[in-house]
Amino acid sequence: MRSKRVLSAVAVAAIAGLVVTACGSGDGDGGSDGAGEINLSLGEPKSLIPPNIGETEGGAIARLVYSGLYDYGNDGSLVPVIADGQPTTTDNKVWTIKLKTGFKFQNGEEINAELFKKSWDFAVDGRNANGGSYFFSKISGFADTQSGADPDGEEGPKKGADPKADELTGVKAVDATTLEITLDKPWVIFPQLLGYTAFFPTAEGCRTAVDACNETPIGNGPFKFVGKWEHETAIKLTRWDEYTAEKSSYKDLNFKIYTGSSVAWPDFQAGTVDIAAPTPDAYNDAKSTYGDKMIEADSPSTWSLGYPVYDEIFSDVKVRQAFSMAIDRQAIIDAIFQGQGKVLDSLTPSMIPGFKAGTCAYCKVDVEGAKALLDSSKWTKGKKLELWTNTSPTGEKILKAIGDQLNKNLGIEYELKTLEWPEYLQKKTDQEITGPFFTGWQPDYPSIENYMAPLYSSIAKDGSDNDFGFYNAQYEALMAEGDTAPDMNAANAKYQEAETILGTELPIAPLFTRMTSTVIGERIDFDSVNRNPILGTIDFVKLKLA
Amino acid sequence: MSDANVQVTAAVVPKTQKTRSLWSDAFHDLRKRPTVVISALVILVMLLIGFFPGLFNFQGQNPKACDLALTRGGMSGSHWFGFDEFGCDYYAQAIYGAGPSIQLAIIVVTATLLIGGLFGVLAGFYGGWVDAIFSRAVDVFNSIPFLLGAMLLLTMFRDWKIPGLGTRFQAIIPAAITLIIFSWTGTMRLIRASVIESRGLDYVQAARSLGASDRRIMFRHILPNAMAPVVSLIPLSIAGMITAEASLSFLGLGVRPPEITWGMMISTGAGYFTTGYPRLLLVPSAFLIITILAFVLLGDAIRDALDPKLR
Amino acid sequence: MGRYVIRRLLQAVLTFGVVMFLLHYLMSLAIQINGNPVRTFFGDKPVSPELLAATKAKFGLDDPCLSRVGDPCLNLFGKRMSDWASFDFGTNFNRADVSELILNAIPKTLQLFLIVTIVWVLFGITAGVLAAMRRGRFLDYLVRIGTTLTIAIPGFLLLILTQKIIGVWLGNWAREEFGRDSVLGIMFQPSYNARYPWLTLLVPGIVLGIFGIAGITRLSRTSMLENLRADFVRTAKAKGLRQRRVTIVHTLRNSLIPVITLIGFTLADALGGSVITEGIYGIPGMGKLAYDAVKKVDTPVIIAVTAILSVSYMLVNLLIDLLYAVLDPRIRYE
Repeated sequence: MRSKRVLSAVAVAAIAGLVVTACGSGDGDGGSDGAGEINLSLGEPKSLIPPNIGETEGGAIARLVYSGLYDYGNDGSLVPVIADGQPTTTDNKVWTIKLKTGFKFQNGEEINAELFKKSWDFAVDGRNANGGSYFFSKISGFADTQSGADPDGEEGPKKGADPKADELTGVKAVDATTLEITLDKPWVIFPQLLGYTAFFPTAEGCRTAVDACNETPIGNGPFKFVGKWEHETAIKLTRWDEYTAEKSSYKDLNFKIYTGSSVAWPDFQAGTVDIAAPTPDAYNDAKSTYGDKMIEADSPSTWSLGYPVYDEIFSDVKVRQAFSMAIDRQAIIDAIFQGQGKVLDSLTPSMIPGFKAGTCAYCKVDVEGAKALLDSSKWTKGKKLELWTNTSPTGEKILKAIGDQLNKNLGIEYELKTLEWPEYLQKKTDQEITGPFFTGWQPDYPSIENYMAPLYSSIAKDGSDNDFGFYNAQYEALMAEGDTAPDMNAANAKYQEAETILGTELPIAPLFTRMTSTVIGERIDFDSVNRNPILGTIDFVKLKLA
Repeated sequence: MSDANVQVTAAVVPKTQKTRSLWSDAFHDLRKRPTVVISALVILVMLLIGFFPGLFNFQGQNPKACDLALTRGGMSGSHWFGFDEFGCDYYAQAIYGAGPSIQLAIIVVTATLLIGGLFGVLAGFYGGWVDAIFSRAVDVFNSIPFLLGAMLLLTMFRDWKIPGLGTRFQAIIPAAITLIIFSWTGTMRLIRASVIESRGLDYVQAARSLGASDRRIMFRHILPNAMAPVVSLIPLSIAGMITAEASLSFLGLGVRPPEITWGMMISTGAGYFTTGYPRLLLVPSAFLIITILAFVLLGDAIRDALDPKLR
Repeated sequence: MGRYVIRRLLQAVLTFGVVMFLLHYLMSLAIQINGNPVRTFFGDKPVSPELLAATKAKFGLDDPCLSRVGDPCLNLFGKRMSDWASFDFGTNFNRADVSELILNAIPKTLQLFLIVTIVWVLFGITAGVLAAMRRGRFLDYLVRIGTTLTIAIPGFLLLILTQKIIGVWLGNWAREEFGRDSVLGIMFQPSYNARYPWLTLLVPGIVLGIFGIAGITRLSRTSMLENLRADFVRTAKAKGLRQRRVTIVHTLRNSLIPVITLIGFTLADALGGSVITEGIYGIPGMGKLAYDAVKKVDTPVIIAVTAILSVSYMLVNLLIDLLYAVLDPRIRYE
């Protein structure tokens, strides 16, 4: 999934904190007779058109109102929903997916292979500017569906040249229940993408009236919209009884939207909200009060300290390694996040398929070793370090803590530079950052490849096309071997080798993953709570009232 | 004058002939009141803390030498206020936190007086289209809500660097400029009203008939008298600026790190109030309230003392 | 009087135009200096230049003037003004209709400020008047100390403290004692609850009212004091009218004129200043709308909200001046 921004505590709290309150009558309506209401909390989604969804809020709603070919199981495997069985292939290049019959949209449209093709053509078409279109980038014919480059000149904005093709030639609807996808190159990981919201089907009625569909989605999932999306206030859903797969045991699902700095936790404390995630400051308090009703879990999002490898001083790997060894990650977690975090000793978190522990060779704190390394490196004594972040409270706190530690352990003076987010992102892309910078990653699909390729791979041999200016020939070779490996295990083995190189060359110093804690209230049957560690959310459909 | 604004905003204009005795009268009166003396002392202490924090850093802790291991540590003999979440000494932070707020307030009030004063005199003295332009400008600035405008300006100029200024001033300048932009209108109106009232007075006519130039009349005769109502408002304005800066810091917009201010300390401490570490909120709040209270009490007293109507 | 009103209206239109342009310039400058906000939609993910360009176009932020610092972007300004002329106020980054957002937000802010105004009138004016009537005695000192304290404690601090103390501690006690659905239980919430708008707005409204009450109380007191010593009051007393009639009928009415003016100004001012209150209590009103929009650099919302606030400010100004002319026969405009 995409990151809305380097996750602020609020976003984490709002998403992982799924609030359940039976409202109205005040006593739990039995789940068995299908009635009852559940209230949850959410941040404001950016979009409810599936191929345009790039953040967790939109994704949360989309997974209730829509359903796609596959869903992700708790272990990251593909669980067929509309698809019939796993995707099959003989050469990892051409993939065949069979569909079940009987699925339709809430407006009656029938779901078949042709509809999927049309949905995906719509998703990639450059004119629609869907944020999730890059998920299709490895499918043959993708380039032709993109608009021409931005030709804006002095006279004013011009539209990019229209796409050369208005369909994605790599996708074919062989018959009503068979989809055939052809990739540019063989890529064994490809199926892992298919559970993502970008691949969800969209109705014809939606594609021809996109703005209306954004306000009242025409879904095909276990829930349907009641009324419109009340921006920044609420989203109300109700069970769609004609859904042919698993439905909820309760009837209504309401989301109260919290924006800006308001969070659900005070409402939880006051009793109007039964499940929420405590704010970081309130964590200890919550743990002692609600201990056994609290679910604490790892999040698949990682935070790291990126290095400007293109910079003279930081091009020296010893500097990067020394800094990484001088950071006491656990201390930061304990102090700033009340222990709600897990130190990373690899580049990927543990729940991701293909994870290998300990690939980062310099993630353990070792002050003496760090000092020794620094002395023998290009680092000039007395130089003032610049630490960069965007203006999120989390980023600023983490970087201040790191700066303080580097000061204490290595005697380096630091200066914190904060930029507004758009400027920060732009400077990163333009490689204008002059010191270590705060960076994070939220996975798009469950594979360790996703934590590496989009970030550190590069076409240019001087690494000029990634944010870090990092290029390593051996790493590139290993990633290519992984991409073309015959099966997942072989692929993961190669990816792990590539990861080990990253763990020594350190384009970033992996820091930690956040843990999310969610407290379940009395109105919910605790045993019905199923948290999917890959998606980082609770499965709402499976919830039962107590 | 048929201008309604004159009636509302003209505070107090002391009669010219009695000015000198009014001031010394006021001074003698104020000297004897305990609240005034205490407030003045508190202000003096705070000013000293603000400009010479090193003097008050009795325990010699460096507020920037933070050790995460000591996070949220409690009060102890060598750390009077314990530690904050980063393991920085809280007492030192509170001491060093005074400077930016107080310096900012003084800079802003001084600049506002100069700018507002100048504009007010020009507008009040010349009237006509000069006055019209200034009045429209006042309307424009007043109709942009303070916080919105401040947020916009401050997010734009976060990293503005003026070459040659020390880091302390770098951190203050953006917030200072923003506050000046949004406060000059108040002073300008006050002075303009005063100037309009004194414009028609006899001594001005006399000076004019003796051939005094416009500038001479404006600055030698009218301005000193027009300033009186404003002078008594200086401590209150300072209090207001300290509050405004604290509000901005609370929103994360005020003075930039690594400078510390009480507003920032309150912002981070607020979350800990009900979750076990109320000290983190109470310490900076106490400092802030005491300082503001001192200025307010002093300002009130001065204004009452200078108000002939209440004699 | 008619000519005066027309002249004021023309001035208001001019001011409005200047404010709109100034704001537009400020927003364009913000985008030029800080980068195009559209870039943040993709976060740390790499985004192809084509997709970025297409997304910019989608949100009307693709004019090249936005990459030149200082360019006043007159095209964009003209386009926005002409859109407004046809009542199209644009959409925000989440494709929500700006006019809808504003229409949803205004009632909450108005509700909040209704409570605030009641607090001002009920407590502020009463306290000020009583203090004036009992000048020098205990009540007077109490009121003066009270107002001084409310000036000294910054608003946001008071709000945080009340949110924690009343919303959480007191509220949890109330909910345990009297039940979750009791009046007290609902009132003492740490945040706004749309199901019980008035009850949950009471506490933040009162706190916000306290925060601004000092000026009104003091002005009431001063104004009352002035009038109590005025000649016409002594005349009335000499005529033998009863104390209370003298107070209410004669003094109060005259004292209220400047107070009403102050209330008007403070209200217009405060409409924009409710940002902190709404943020802390999660009230989905104009302040919160504006604050969230500024954080995201969501231009259509910011400009629309500011336009409304600025228009209300000018209207209030005009109304007060007219009211003044009506109430005080010494004032005449030509």
